[in-house]
Amino acid sequence: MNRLRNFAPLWLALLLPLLATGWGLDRALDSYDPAEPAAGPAAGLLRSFLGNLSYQARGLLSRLLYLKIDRYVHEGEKVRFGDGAVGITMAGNTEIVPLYGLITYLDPHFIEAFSLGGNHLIYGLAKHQEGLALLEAGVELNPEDPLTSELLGQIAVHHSADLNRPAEAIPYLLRAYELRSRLGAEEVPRGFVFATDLLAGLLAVNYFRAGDRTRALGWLEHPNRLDSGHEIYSALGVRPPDVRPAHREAEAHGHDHIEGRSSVDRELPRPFKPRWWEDPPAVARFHRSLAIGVALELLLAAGGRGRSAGSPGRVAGSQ
Amino acid sequence: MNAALTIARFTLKKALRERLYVVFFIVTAVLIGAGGSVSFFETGVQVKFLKDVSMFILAAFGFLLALFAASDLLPHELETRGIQFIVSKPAGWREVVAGKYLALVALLAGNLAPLIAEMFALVWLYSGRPHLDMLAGAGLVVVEMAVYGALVMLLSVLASRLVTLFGALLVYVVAHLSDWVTGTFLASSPGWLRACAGALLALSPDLSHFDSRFVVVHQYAVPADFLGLLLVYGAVYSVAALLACCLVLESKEL
Repeated sequence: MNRLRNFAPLWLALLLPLLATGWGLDRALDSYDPAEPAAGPAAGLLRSFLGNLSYQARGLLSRLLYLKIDRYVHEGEKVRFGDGAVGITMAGNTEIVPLYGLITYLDPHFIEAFSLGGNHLIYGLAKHQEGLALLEAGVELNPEDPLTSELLGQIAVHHSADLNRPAEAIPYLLRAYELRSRLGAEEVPRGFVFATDLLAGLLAVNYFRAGDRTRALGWLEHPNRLDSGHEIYSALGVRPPDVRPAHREAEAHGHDHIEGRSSVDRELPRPFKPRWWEDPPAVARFHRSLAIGVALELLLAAGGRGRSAGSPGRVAGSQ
Repeated sequence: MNAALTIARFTLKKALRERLYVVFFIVTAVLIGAGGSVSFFETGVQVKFLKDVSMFILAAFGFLLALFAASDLLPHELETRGIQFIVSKPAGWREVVAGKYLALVALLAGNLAPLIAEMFALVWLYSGRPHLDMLAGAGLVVVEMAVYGALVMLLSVLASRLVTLFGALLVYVVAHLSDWVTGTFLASSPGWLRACAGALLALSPDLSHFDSRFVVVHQYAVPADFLGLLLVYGAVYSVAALLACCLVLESKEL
């Protein structure tokens, strides 16, 4: 103890300033927390606990839930398009809707989940308000992420094509164009369709439909993917370009999205195969074999016990 | 300094002979490799999933390595009386603690580096381009585990092996949830309780700051000044834990 008494003041004199420095740095680091979920003060204890879980655990959890939801979404029915392409309708399962909220709460930067959720809610379940709210939340949580252009594009298309409000679609398209311009072609995740040339075409069409011919003409000068037979060319008296610019991103992704054409030149989606535990006959077979196995095991055990009870026991030391 | 380096070298040699760490390493390498086979997404999140799973496995491996290695470095020497031989040489407690800690950091870096390379190569292979931001994220795992290792070393000289292991687990959880404990969990508690909890929590670093590697996975820009501040933060708490470790060892009667 004498040794401690001799050394303690010196060590403590070193330790305390270090701890005070650590505390100060902690406060400074607290100001930077970009991935914090948007749990308000009214959030429940469980919700706030989830919010404070380590980011990596939250991310992994949201990814695993996404696996499940991705599977559910593709449980729809097979549909055949006119040109021989085959697709799958989105499932009409409303019970999975809360999962979108949980996934995007766990990982507020999971743009793919916002995109799939918005698409599913609007086009799969006809829940327009909820779908738009989810997409808007994704935009609000990731305002500077170039991938947010996908969400903005979805919102704009919904305003323009579904709600027939081209003027409201324009601000979203402009912002989407700006964000998407920052994204390199190799950085675009598979399935993200709102490339700059698609957005430019949409901008031209929406300005035209909103009555702003000057801006529509301006956007037509940008490389775009409008079909040469599109009504906008004849209405504005503009000659469509002879050679359509090659779309680099589409080449990289193996498919293209051209207005008025439904080309599907990539591999068809993998058919949905239920896992054995989701297949009732397989589960019934499993239960039967389990019951038979248990019965056999019991029979063998009973037989063994009977034999050992009936046979004269060996005496230690006997031959 | 030479004495610390010599101790570090011998400790590292001894640690590398531990079969448990080799098994951990092999299992982790296989798991990260298996993460690449996840390719049944339809909506193009394979790379993100691969990054997340790999980072999670890497962090879990780093955690286990730091926990088991750091909890045994000093108690083993104390139990086997090997420490008497070391401190009878011209080496004090500071050199012993510094040497052991250097060995721990080298063990962490040496084990995690090949796994990080594997992860980097896999992501490159699947996405078709190198993701340099992953290296920054993985680097933060190493730094976090080095800080955590220092805390576990301190615990190991204060308590028995079993208590150290459970205590270290608790520290890991609480150090990730410190804001939540004071902010939400104790929100309706009396002020003095919150103040006491806050003071206790200030003794350990808030490890959730190192979770910004998750942001790196999402390719969000992490400012360089934030990373610098984080490194200083980790260094401050590591040095504090090691100093406290020396203080405890000085008071021990051999």
